[in-house]
Amino acid sequence: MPAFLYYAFVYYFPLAQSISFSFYKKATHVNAKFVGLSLYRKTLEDPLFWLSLKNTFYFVTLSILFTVVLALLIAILLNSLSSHKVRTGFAVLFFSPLTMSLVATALIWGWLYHPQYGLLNYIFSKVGLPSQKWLFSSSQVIPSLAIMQIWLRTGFAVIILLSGLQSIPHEYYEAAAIDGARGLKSFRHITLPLLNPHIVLVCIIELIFDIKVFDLVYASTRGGPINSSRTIVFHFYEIAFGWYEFGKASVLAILIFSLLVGMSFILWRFARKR
Amino acid sequence: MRSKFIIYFLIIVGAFIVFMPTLQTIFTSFRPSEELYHLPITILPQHPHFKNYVEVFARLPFGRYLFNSFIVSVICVVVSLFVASLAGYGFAKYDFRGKNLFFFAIVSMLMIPFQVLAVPLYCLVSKLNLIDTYPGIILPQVVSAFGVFLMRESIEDIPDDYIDAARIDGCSNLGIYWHIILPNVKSGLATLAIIKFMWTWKEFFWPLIVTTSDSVKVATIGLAEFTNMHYIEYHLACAATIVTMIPLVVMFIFFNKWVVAAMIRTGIK
Repeated sequence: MPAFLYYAFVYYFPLAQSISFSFYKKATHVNAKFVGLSLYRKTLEDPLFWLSLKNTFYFVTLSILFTVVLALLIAILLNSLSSHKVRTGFAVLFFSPLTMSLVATALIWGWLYHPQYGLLNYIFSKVGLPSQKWLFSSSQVIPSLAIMQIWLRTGFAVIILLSGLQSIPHEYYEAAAIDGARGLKSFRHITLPLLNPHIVLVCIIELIFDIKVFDLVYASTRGGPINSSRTIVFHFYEIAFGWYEFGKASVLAILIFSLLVGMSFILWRFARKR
Repeated sequence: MRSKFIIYFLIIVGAFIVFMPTLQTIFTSFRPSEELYHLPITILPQHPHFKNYVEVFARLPFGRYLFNSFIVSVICVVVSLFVASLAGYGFAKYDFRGKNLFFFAIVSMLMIPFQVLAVPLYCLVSKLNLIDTYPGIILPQVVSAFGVFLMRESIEDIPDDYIDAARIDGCSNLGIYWHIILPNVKSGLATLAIIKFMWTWKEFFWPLIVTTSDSVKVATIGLAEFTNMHYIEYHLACAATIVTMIPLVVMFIFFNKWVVAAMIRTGIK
């Protein structure tokens, strides 16, 4: 045991450190306690806070919905391929955007989205659609960012869902086919229930990643135009490192963390119930 | 037969859409700058040349940045493999008080946006006088909560009998760790190594606030230096992007069997 204890210590040391960091942020908050809860009130009264919360939710909803649906679709298509090699090859291809750093993603999509010289508007004009302003329009900026995120994250979801699909025994489908259930029906009654844990896992992971979205926003829009892509973590960043209001930032940090834990918990419970 | 054709068709269309941005980056990286802002737009570069890549390395010490990224990533991978496998071993095979609590405490670290920890971390690192040094960049990244999670999952699969047998033969705990545990979780370790390398290589935010001098800046920071508020030199930025992607792509091609197989096996259950 002593060896284990020693190594547990080696490991717990950094852990303790990280926990103490989180107390640190609380410590700054405690120092600011001379003003009581007024910082909380200030934060909650700040219209920018609510705006950024709204933007974040909009972004998260769009990204999760499309990532999961698209990934499910792709995973099912890939799963129906018979050759293992071809399947892995395509899975890797769908996974490939993840090799790109978020800054690079933001750059590339910034170029694709370019209102005048971007490829997307070029394709739109070829197909006969009017050109869009994408990141420069306050109503399109969040969907545009969500597309970037979906592009990045779908491959990861595909791999998890694919592994889930492959763990479903073939006999189930054969039995269902004998009972007369095919196609959609077998999908509804066999695939979905058995895949449920994987779907929940993907949802939780995506939820965590999407709420934390920062680099994309920072590198592509900096919260603009006129705050319409200000997300909650970006808001935090600006308060902490733009305006150096660490007390306020700590309040936000605690709020963000409780939000994340709360949401994953709800999602998890919801999934358990079904 | 026809449904097979439709499936292939859909997959190929999907793959093309997914790959298009990357393709566009590759094309753009070979374009001269005049061609970028020239109407009508052409999909292929008309006068492809290699100058953008030369320019990237001439404008900034980009080679140095890449080297820094490499050093930082490798150190992070090695340390986090070591720590995560030990911790995973402890969590998987020993009972102690508050085990679940500790485990939950670690996994919940995954949920905290890094930006939230950045302020206290920055204070700490500057107190240790590590601002603008390798250890300063590496310190907050060496421990991987995800790694502990992954290692616990894979070590739990090892039968207890192996460990008991080794103990009867007089093997110490450390010996068991070295001779029994590590060889049995090779693919888990490989997965973690690859993922950790990718994450560290792509990390942007922390190096951004902690580095100021060229000798320690990493490649992602260099990438961002081709942009500013008003003007982005897309041809250079794209070339730099391709350069920073190459190591990951190479790694991915070499190890994709490990990644996919291990992801499916360790189940992300």
